[in-house]
Parts: sequence; structure tokens; C-alpha cells
Amino acid sequence: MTACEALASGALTLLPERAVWSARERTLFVADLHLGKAAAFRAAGAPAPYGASAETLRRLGALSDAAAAERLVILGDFAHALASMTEGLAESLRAWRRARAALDCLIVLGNHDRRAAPLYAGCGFPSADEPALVAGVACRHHPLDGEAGEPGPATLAGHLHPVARLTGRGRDSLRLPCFVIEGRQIVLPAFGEFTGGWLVRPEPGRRIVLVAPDRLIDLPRPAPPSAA
Amino acid sequence: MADARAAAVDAWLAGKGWRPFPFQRETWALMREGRSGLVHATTGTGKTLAVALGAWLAAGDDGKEPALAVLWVTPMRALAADTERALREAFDGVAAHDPTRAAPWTVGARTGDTSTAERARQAKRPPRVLVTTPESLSLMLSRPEARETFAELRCVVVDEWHELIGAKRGVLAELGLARLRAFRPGLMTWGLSATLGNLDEARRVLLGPQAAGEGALIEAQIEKPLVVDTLLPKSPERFPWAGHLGTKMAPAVVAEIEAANTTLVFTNVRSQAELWYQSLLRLRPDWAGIIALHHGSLARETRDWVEQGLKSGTLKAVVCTSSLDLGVDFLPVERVLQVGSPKGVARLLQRAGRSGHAPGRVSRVTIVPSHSLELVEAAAVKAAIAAMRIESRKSLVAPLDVLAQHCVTVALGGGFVPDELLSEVRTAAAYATLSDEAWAWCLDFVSKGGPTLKAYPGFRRVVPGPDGIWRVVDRDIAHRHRLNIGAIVSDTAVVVQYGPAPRGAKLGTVEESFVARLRAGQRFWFGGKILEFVRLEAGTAFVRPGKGGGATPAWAGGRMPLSTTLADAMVEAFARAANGDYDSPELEAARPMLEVQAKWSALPTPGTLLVETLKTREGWHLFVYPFAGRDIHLGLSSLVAWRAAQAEPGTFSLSFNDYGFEILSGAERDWAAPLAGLLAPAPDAAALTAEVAASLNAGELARRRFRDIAHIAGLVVAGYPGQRRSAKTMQASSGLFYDVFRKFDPDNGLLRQAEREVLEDELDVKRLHKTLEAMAARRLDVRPLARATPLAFPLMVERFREKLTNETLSARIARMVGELDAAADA
Repeated sequence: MTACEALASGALTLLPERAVWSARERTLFVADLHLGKAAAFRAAGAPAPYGASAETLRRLGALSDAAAAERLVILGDFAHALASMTEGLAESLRAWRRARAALDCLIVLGNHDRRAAPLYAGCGFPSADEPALVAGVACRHHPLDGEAGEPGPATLAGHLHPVARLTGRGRDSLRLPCFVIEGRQIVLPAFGEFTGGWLVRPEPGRRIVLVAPDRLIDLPRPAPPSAA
Repeated sequence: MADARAAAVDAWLAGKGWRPFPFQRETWALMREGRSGLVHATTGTGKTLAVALGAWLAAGDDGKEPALAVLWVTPMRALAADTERALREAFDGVAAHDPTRAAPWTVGARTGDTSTAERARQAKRPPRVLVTTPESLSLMLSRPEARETFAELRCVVVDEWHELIGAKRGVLAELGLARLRAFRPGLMTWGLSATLGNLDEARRVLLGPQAAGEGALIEAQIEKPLVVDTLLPKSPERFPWAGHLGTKMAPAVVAEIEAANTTLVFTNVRSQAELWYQSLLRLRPDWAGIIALHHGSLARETRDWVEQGLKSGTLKAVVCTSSLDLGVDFLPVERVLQVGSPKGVARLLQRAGRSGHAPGRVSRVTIVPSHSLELVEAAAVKAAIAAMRIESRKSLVAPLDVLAQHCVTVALGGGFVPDELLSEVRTAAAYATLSDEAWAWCLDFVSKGGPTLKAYPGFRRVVPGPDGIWRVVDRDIAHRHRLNIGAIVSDTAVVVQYGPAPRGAKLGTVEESFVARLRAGQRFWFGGKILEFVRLEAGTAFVRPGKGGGATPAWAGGRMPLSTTLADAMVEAFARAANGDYDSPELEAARPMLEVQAKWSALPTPGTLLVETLKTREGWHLFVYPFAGRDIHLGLSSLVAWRAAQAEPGTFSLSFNDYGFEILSGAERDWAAPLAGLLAPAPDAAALTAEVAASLNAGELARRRFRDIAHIAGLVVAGYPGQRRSAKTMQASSGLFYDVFRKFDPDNGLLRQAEREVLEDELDVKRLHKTLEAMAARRLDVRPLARATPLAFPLMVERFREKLTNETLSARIARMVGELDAAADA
């Protein structure tokens, strides 16, 4: 099933909260939380401020509670680095899980999770290598590259932190996080607070859905290049 | 003994057929008394020998073990090798004539290019004279053995001081000098400077305000004939009225190159150098191999080859950027061409000095206008040189990012006691008035990551010990700090290399943002070659030779503002033209363009303030021409847009150049009616500061300024090729840091520094206030336009723009989505 078909049939829904929702499976998908990134910077002597991880977890809790999700899949880069997994963060994670004991959680491991992964289970978050098939969806951290156009199950991925540009008259332009839909794959925007962005440009065969604070915006797709 | 040395100097010089200039003798006499000072002389007049031999004359043979006696600080590491060679030749030369038969002084270099083996050798057996850069000096000060390294230091020399003063690198050098003087009270400090408008101030900053009174200022009175002229376009009708000449002057440039032995063609930015090199080769394919390209992003080997060719005279011409502004003599260089605006009087004089680079020869610089407005600039710069009006450069005032970096450096280099370091730091001119609060903030920042109330417990860069000495204890932090030392912040550079298989030569670097836009197979110009992009892999852009044409990379930075000295001279030139007084060949050549401007709108004059309004497909434009220089126009445009947004929320795109600024609104706006209010002076500078500070929050200036601050203060660690993988988790952009601070720690001192730097340095509120008052004294001359004038056009097509908005995010998105929908329906 292509991603577009999955979206059109209602099997999957894009949310302006930077998540994908499967109503039938009551499953919520998010990517790239980068929890404890500021702590990793602080441990290395760069004074990054407090508050980003708490805000990320608060938003994730609010979203999952409001949707009454039964399952949560995190598409990699749950924590930023080993130094991110401070006792403070571990305690916040356990508290977060205690408040949602019934929620079934799974972390599909990403590149940033390599060294911190053994600590996740102790905080109540089981993990698995990519790809993990959940609710009929192939869950990955690293997006498929060429194969996204080939047949296969609908695929969700993260890693890229995609953002795209919305332009207007008077040379106005804004960078907004976005979903990138190509073939059977949807790449999710980063969910975390303390994350940068990788600029994606419109291309034939690529659908870009921008995330505004309260809405989703489909970017017009460029016409295929003419023969000239 | 001393007289024997003096005789040796005379004998060596006589053997070369030279007689010392009076200024050299003066320097030697002062140095033998142990005095400090600043030597001012144009290039190619023997400044180096004055100070180098002075240091040798001043040093009695004390019979001590060989130790570092003279430190020679040069602003560019590319110059270090040449300086090393020149010094070695001098010291070997005088030693050969020294009747005491003392061994010649050894000379070494310590820069980013110095190998580990060489550094180890220097540690074991230090040279008497060490050539280094401000950054490498800082690195040496970060070593635990710093105090011992400099224990026998007698003299420190700062070369090309005019390049350093006024920049953060100069502040880094000031702090390094303060440290050396603390190690060695009575240390002789000498600076070498080209022409500046405020040499007294330059001396004060170099020697520190406390010691400056005793320092000498030596001015070489050497007549150096100078010719400044302009390559005038042959037929004025070949100029589009918009004025863009691009490389249309290339045939004339070819003729000039043909007529001289060796020519340097200076451009203002690297991409322009690439374009001109291509144009020259297209006109003269037979010049392949005898003309070359030189800029800061080319591989070291390529630049070495070009410099060697210049010295030996095998190259006919070199197209270059400021990368060849400084440095040793390229004796064969006969002509200097300046493509585009000279930007400043001192800068043009410096470049002129690259030709006829020997005492007694003529320096000649020829301006090649790339835009017809630059003809007016050429007329202005000639008038300014004739009147000897030359720019001044001031030290920056107490930048906290550089101070924070220095504190960590000193904490590594043996540690510090805060009160002692504060007294030492205050001997540097930049920090003479450092407040106790700012110092306390800086200590908190390096030890706790922020002020006491918002301390970050996980953070400890510098740790106060039980003995009262502050040190760095973590080895990783020490390692990363040493990698990050310096005050030059560049964009993430990507290495350009032939490959991937087989791997070939490295060609240089381009900015990551340029590579990010390339697709496999796309071609681009680099180093005068056409390359085909293969792929990006671990910080390396692999390429193969390509055919045909392609894009030219743009490198950020290097966009110098027109100096106010030159801008003032320009208004005077316009005024003469407005009176029909076309008093120079340059103004006469600009006449067709000036007449179009006068016909469609008006010429700026000292008594009027020209304002133009225009409606285009892009939106509603306002153009204002105060001729106050690029930086002031940036502040003015931001202020005026902010005021306009108070009346009615909006989003504006701002552009500015040295002549004026443009504000563009995508939504309908009547600019003319509220104009007097928009341009009104504030009641006082404090009120204006509040207004400009408010406008900053609506724009992106402070965010951009934060980039340098984040690097220098050690928040963001520059990426470098081949770094350990774990280092990559330490990468975040300064913009991301800025946003996170704004959201989670809005009172952070570095954010305030960014705002303060924008307000005081970049926008210069005091000057802004004066400019607004001066503008109010002029009569407003508002011209509604039917089409863009010669003055308006460059602003309209300017790609580097600022944005200012006070619309809510959702209102802005709704408007842009509305436009998308309308376009889809059309």
C-alpha cells in the first residue's frame, strides 16, 4: 500500500502535533524526540538550558492522552546520547509511564539510540531494531532511499527532521516542519523541542505537508519537468 | 658589545646595498632603551627589519640557555612561513657580521599548520624567535606550561595591527598580550601598522591604556608615489541604466594585464573572483597556466603554488580576494586592479601598496567599476585620498564571548585566581571599563553555565579548587576547548575532492549550504575549473572534472560595508554632479546614469533626503537614501519597518546597501503619508535604543549575531573533517541554540550580548540617533516612481535581505496559504 493510499483510506492520519495516527489500531507514531539533548551538551561543557525534554514529554503525554492511544511507536532517536540518560530524565520517564501504564510503547532504535538503548527498558520503554512491523505498518528510523517507490507495506520513518519553506508575496517565507510523502513512505517531522531541521524541496512524486501550529498545509507540487 | 651589534647591522645592510631609513634607526634606539611602541609605515618600506633588528640589538648576549625571546604575532597563518623566512635571513645575516661570533638567532613558527613533531621539537629546544597567530598564541596560553614557555620572553611584535584592531581577533590578541605582560612585567611590545586614521588610538589599544603613555609612535616619512585611476567604460550607451556591468569590462582588463609584467586583480568576494577568472580565460584561452586564481577557500597547495608564481614572476596575473591583501613582497607585481567598490580609503591604499612593492617604486591601483554607481565611488575615493581622509578603527568594548573563552584558556594554562585575572584583563583596552557585574557573569558562565539563580548543575567547565585557583579538570572539555579557540567563525565547510574512487586531490572548501543544493551530475565552477558533483560523503563533496558551464558557489561573509569616510565623500560627489559640476573623468562617465536618475526621480543632495515609492508585482516598495553606510541603513530599515508595523501589523522584507535601504510589504501599504513620522528622530538616544531593541525581537538580526557568539563562547563546536563519531552528537546550530534559549532561558547573558552587539556595534544606536536628526534637518523629497531608478534597482535585486514581522504566525500562514490558493485557482 502506498502512503497516499493509506492516508486516503483513512488507515493513517497526519496530525498537526507532528505525529501520525492510526485510528483503527489506536496507535500513535512519533519520531526523533532527542530527549536529554541539553543534558548531553551540559555534560560536555556547553551550557544548554533546562526545560526542552520536560516540554517534549508533556506534549507527548497530552497528545497520547487526548487521542486515547493504546499504542505508541517512537521511530528512533528517543534520547540524544548516552549522557542524556541522567537519573533525572530516567525518573521523568518512569513517572510518565506510571501515568500511562496501559499504553503499549515501542522504540524503534535510531542512530542516536546506539549507546543509550540498554537503559530504555528500565524506564519502561521496550525497544526493537528497524524495521519493526506494527499495526501493519513498517516502522523505521532511517528512511528508505530508492526503494520507497517499490511495492511493500506502508512505511513510517524519521531521522531527517524535515522542514520545508512556505513563501508569500513581498519575499515573505517561513520554515515549517513537514511530513514528506513519497511512494509507500511517510517521513515524520521531529517531535522533540531541541531539534534542528533539514530543508526539503518540492519535487515531482513528492508530497510535502507543512505543520503549522493549528493546521496542516499541502504544498503545491511542481509540474513534472517539460521535455525542453 | 651593543656597539658591535650595531656595527654588524650596518655591515649586513651595507652588504645588501641598503642604508637604514631614519625611522629604522629611531626604532632601534628606542628598543635598545627597552621602550614599546607602534611603527607606522606603508608596505614595502622595511617595517619588519626595523623591529626585528631592534629586538636583536636590544638583547645583550646574556649567556642564558636558549629560550624564547621574541614572539612575532601575525594575523594570517599563511604569512607565517614567509615571515619566518624573512626573519631567518635577517638574523643569519647580522650574525655573520657579528664580531662576537654568537650563534644566529633561531626562528620557528607555531600555527595551525605546524606539525606535532615540530611542536615537540620546539618544546624541547625553543627557537629564540617564534612566529605565530593570535589563535596559536591563545593555544600556547592554554598549556599548563605556559608560564615557563614565556619565562625569558623579552619582546612581542604584532604585525599588521591595523588588520586586527577593531575585530574580535584583535580583542583575543589584546587579552593574550595582557597575559604575556603579567608573566613578564616590562615586556617590550611593538606593533606594525599600515595607514589608519587613528594611529594614537591604535597604539593605546596595543600597549594597553595604562602603559600607552610611555609608548612611542614612529611614523616612517617615506615618500611613496601613488597613482589611483579608473578604467572607464568606452561607450556609456553600453551601460544598462540599472548599472550592472558584471564582467563587461573584462576586455579592457585583458588589455591592462597585457601591458604590464604582473598584475593583481582584486575582487571583493570569492564568487566574484571565480567569475572574473572564468571571463579572462574565455577571452584569452592562451593564458591558461599563466593566470591564476587565489582565494581563501582554495586548497593550501594551490595557494602556495600561486604565491610562488607571483614571487618568481612566472604568472602574468592573479585574480584574488583579500587573501592577498597582506603579506610579503611580491616584487614582480607591477599593477593592481580593483574590481568593484574599494569600500574604504585605507583598504584601497593597502591594495595599492601591493604594486611597486619596494622602496622608491610607484604604487598604482586602477579601479574597475562593476556597476555605474561605482564610478561615483571612484571619484569619491580619489577626492578622499587627495584630502588624506582615512578611516579609523576602534577596539571593541568588552565582548563577553571572547572573555569567556579567554577565562577557560587561562584556567587550562595553569589556572587563575579571579581577582588577579580581573586586574590583568582590565589592562587590555577592550576591557579597561569592564564592570564588576559583567565579570561576575562571565565567571558564573564558565563555572556554572549561567548566573547563580539559574545555574545548570550538570555543567562544569571551569572548577574553583579548594586552593582558590580555578582550573579545567575534565580532559574532554579541555580537548574541545583547544579545538575551538579563536574568534573567526566560518560556515561549516565541506571539502571538495576528486573521487570517491579513486580518491584524488583536495581542491578546497565550499559552504555546506551550497553543496546541500547540488544534485548528482550537477556542474559548478570551483577554483577556475568546471566540476561535476558526484556525492556528499562524511563532510567531503566528491567531484569529477566536468564540461560546459555551471553555477558559481557563493560564500557568505566578506561583504564589507562602505566606510563612512568614503560614503561622505560620495555624497559630496553627487552634490557636485547635481550642480552640473562633473569634475573628474569618473563622474563624467557616470553622467548618463546620473541623468536618468535625475529625470525619473532626483539626485540626492546634502540639503534633501531622497525617498522613492514604487508598486510592483512583488508588492509595495519604499526606498530611502540617507547615504550613511550599510550598517546604519540596516538599523534604519529595521526601525522604520517596526514603526510602520505599529500602525498596522505586517511582514516586511528589508534590503540595504551603502547608499540607502528598501522596505517591501507584500500587503498594500501607503508609504508616503506617514513618512515624516516613520523617519522622525527619537526624543533621545535611550528612547531610540528601546525602539530599536523592540524591533530586534521582530527580526532576525540578533539571531544571526548569536552565531559568532555561540561559537566563541564554546556553545557550538565547529565540525571538522574526520572528527570522532561521538563528537557529532555535540553538534547543534547556533540558531537552534538561540531559539532554545529564547524559549527556556530568556535572561541568558549571551542572548543579551547578542542584542547588545547588534545595538552597539552593528547598528550603532548613537550614530543612528545622529543620523535620524541629520535626516530630519533635510527636506524630504518624495518621488513616486513608474519604474525602478538606478539607485533603487540594486536594492530591489539584492538577495541578502532581512525580515521583520509583527503579524501572528497563524495570520502570516493564513495570508501565504491564501496566496497559494489564489495562484492555484488562477
